[in-house]
Amino acid sequence: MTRRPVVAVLCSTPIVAGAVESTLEFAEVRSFEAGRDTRGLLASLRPDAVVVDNDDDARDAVAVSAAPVLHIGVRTRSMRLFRDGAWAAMRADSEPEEIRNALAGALFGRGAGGA
Amino acid sequence: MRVGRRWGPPGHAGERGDKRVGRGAPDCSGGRLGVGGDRLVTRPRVLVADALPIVRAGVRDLLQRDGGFDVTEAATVEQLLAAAERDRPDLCLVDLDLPPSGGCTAVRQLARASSTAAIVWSFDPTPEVVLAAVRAGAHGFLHKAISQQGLVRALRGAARGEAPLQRDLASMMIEAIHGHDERADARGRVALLSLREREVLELVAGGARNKDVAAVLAISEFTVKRHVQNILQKLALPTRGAAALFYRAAVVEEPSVVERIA
Repeated sequence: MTRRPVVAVLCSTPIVAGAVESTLEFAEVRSFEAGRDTRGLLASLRPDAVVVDNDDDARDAVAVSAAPVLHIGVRTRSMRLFRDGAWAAMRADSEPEEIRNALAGALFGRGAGGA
Repeated sequence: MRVGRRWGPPGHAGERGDKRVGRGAPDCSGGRLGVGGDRLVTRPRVLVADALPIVRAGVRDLLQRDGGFDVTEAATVEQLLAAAERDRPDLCLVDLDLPPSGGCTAVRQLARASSTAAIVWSFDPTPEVVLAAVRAGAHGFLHKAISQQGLVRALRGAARGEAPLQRDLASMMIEAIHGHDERADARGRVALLSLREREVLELVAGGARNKDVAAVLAISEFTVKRHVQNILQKLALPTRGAAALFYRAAVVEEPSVVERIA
């Protein structure tokens, strides 16, 4: 991957969106309001990774995009990463750096299917 | 806002759950220099209490970048109380569901221990929750989905002594106060009943038939009927079903609120 990866951030919580943007310094982050035709948006944007903060968007993102999906469950205090066709739980109290590392690993790690 | 406070003991900065950030540098007298550096300006201190590091980081980065605040953090009620005692922040932004016992508990304990203004925030505030938080001592209540600029404005206002409460939450609180007044009125009417009548009403409200009430209280069904008639007359209610609903509304607390402020 030579260009900066595009990460779509779809959050209903602006504070969380801001925190995610700040931590993904390696990526070109595109932030959108959550819950507004997520499938259509991701089909058009075709991002390299997706970050969501609610169940509906997580479901839509996985259905329409082959990219890794990070789901930060701010209401449920849960965190999980979808890559290679399966969800893997992360610690809910992951620090922003750990979230960055998880996404970087999904994008750039060995075997990761990046752009 | 406080003036001339110590910057804090070395070794605290960067510790998990106790981070200090901010653009201002410490000065020799213990205050901090503002951005211009040529005059002493104190910056409001905000303690952000939330279980999720990503939420704390979002608030911290925002307030540091755009708000002109110094920020400390806490992940639990215990950490919040310790940080409040140690750092004496001007404001606390407290998650309603702060573990382990919730934001209302934290605010109540904070109010006993300090003069720090606490603002509670949550994703799905209800009238009862907003009222419970204010009763616990909160100076304001915000939606967690508030915009970044909205949060900065709200906290700046709070630092000036304002009570941040979004418009819809203010309506919610008024609604909750009215509900509380109605419950208080209903409780007053229940107090008109004799002890035996209250026992009967409680059983009726629980769905018991006259026969069941008679068995539980060891009285005749005829006596139960007479008590029920007296109850309906005193409460000016038409049916035993209405009396049951009235009793539940008047006496039974909302479990969600009780659980959250316990």
